[in-house]
Amino acid sequence: MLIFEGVTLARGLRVLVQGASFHLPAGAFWTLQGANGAGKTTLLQAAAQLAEPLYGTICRETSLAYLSHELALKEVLPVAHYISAVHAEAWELQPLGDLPISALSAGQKKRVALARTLAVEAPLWLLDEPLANLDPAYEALALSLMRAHCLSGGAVLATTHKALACDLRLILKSGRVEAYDD
Amino acid sequence: MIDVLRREWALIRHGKGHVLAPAMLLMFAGLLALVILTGLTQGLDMALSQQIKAAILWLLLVAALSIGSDAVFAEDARDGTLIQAYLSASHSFWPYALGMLVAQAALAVLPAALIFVALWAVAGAGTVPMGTLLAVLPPLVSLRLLAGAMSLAAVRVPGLDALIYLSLAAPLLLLAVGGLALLALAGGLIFAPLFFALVPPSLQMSQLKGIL
Repeated sequence: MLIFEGVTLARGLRVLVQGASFHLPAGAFWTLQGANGAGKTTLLQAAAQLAEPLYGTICRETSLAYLSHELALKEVLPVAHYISAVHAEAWELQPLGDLPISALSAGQKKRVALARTLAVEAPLWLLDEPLANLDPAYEALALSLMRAHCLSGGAVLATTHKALACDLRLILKSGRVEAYDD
Repeated sequence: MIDVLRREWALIRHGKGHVLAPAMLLMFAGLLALVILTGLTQGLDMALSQQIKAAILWLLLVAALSIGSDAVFAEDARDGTLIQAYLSASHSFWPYALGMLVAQAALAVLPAALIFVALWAVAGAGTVPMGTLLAVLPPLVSLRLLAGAMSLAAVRVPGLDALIYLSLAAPLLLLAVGGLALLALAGGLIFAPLFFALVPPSLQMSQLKGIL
């Protein structure tokens, strides 16, 4: 679904990722880990074709759902503006439907953003810190949705700082991508 | 596109839309009244002032539409909405750009234009140029959004993602050019005689002599 071949990425004049090569197949749940500023978000943006690589090629064969770090929520709009009743129920957001986004906690905002992103019917999910700010119950829900998506033939690449059970962990270290099979 | 319209309407209802500031429009209206009611009628001959009223109204409306154009997309870029719009339409800004165009025209620029139409009527600047002003609104809105997209790309130049924001300018540029072409066909011919009447060389010379 997603192929990186010798990809080098930079932000400004700083090279963050050097010569990354991998092939994310259908059905795979991969995480991308690394220290702050290592280039996780930049790599994810490049996978979504939001950033051009300096060198190498990125081939994406399918449409995607993308959860960005910024969440893309307007503070004054109500929760119901972003998600349907069905998805609100799954994420237990119905009682918050009429509240403006500004009235929500960081974790509740993340639930709204996740509910909207994961409702997109796309085989490839690129998720930037999907579990950040979630409490354990919703973390488990998010993980179960990701695994179910992979079981149904989709693929997930998610950045995280947590040690999660997944098919493969990509670790960004000193600009190099190292793969660890759990 | 409908989603963008709905969102813009909701934002305006909550006082956060990308509308022209009412205070700024009132300031323009005050300036306009001052120019037309005092300056022109006092210092120039009446025939000339009658003719250039329309041009001054035009220039003021264009200037009013440029207010805040650099901020039209700035918040959407900051909070990630622009990226979501780009991705949700398979890497195309067309639906988003069209939605913003219609939203800006209907919810921001049209109310502003109506204020100017009222001023137009008060100033007695004639119905033909007023019609051309309304006809030119769509390309003017496109140019306002184009300015916003280019401003955004300009501030993002250090990052590679500037390319994405520049791609937002492409549909807006095409819409603006298309709108202007239509204007040239529909309204330009009507407006051209007025334009030439405004700046005949002999009149210019007599005005300059009067000033000197």
